Amino acid sequence: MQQQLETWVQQAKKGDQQAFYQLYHQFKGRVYAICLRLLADRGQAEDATQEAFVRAWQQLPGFRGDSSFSTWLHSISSRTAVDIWRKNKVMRLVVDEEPEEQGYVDAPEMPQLEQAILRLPSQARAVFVLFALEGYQHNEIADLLGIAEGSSKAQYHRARQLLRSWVDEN
Amino acid sequence: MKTEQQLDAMISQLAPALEPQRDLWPELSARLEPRQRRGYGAWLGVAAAAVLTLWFWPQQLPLEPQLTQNGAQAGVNATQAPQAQAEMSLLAVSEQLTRQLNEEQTRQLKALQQIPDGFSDWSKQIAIWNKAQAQIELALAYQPDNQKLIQQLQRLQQQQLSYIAKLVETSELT
Repeated sequence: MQQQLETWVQQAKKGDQQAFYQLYHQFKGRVYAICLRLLADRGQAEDATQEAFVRAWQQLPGFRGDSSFSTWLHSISSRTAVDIWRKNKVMRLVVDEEPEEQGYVDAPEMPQLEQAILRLPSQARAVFVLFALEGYQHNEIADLLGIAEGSSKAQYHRARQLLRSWVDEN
Repeated sequence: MKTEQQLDAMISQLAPALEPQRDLWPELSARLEPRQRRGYGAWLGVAAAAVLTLWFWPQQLPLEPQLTQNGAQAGVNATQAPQAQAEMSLLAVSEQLTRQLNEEQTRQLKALQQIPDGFSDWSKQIAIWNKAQAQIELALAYQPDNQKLIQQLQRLQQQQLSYIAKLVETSELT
């Protein structure tokens, strides 16, 4: 499988869209998962997934293979979703909406914890997803989200606390 | 309330992938721009255009003598001198370009991973063209206005470019 993956990457680098489709098919679920968990909105997550793959296509000629393709794509996906998250943040400030109400997705088919993550307040959710699921450090998250490192840590603990209480409710 | 350990256990069980509800590929693929192929073909086209432009330009300069206060003949000499100078410098630029073109051709041809059938002696062929062109350039150094020599050189360069284009095209098809 790894060898097949490398072949697709090499072919896609040369402009082969069929090979890129195979990569898309292989990774769309993971990319969508990052986007949905960060944005808590199916429509935005789908847009972000498409955008992440478009960026990957554009940046692929520069992919040197220092990290695995999967890691590289994850990084692009996280950053793409964060870009949209930041735009949403600006919009929230402009329209003065209550952040706690943002992003709730009614998804009864999803596991309990998955649903709870989507219910988290926007910033706590972003920090939690980036730290607990994507493996970023708090200083990196602070840079990505434009917040203080201390805020990142505080939001993470807040997220965990909320998740523990919500999951326990059901 | 769940304990921290229970929460960690639940986090570790989260699915690594979630499926989008609709097919994202059609819209996505429409946004994928074809990769710019700065291949041999495009490069050869640019090089050929540059060489031919440089060759034809000096020959098409308008020959319109201008009268000056010192009389017609002086005016003609005054315009011919800069023109001849321009032709000389263009010839020098063209020769320089030809040399660079030849070096680049050889470098890129050597980089071809697979030489198609019928082109195994490509380096010999290129060397023959280069030698012929060098001889004409030598003659042109003594007779820079000789149109026959210039046309001969143009023909050789065109033949060489066509040969390389054919080689590259065949190579890309195999």
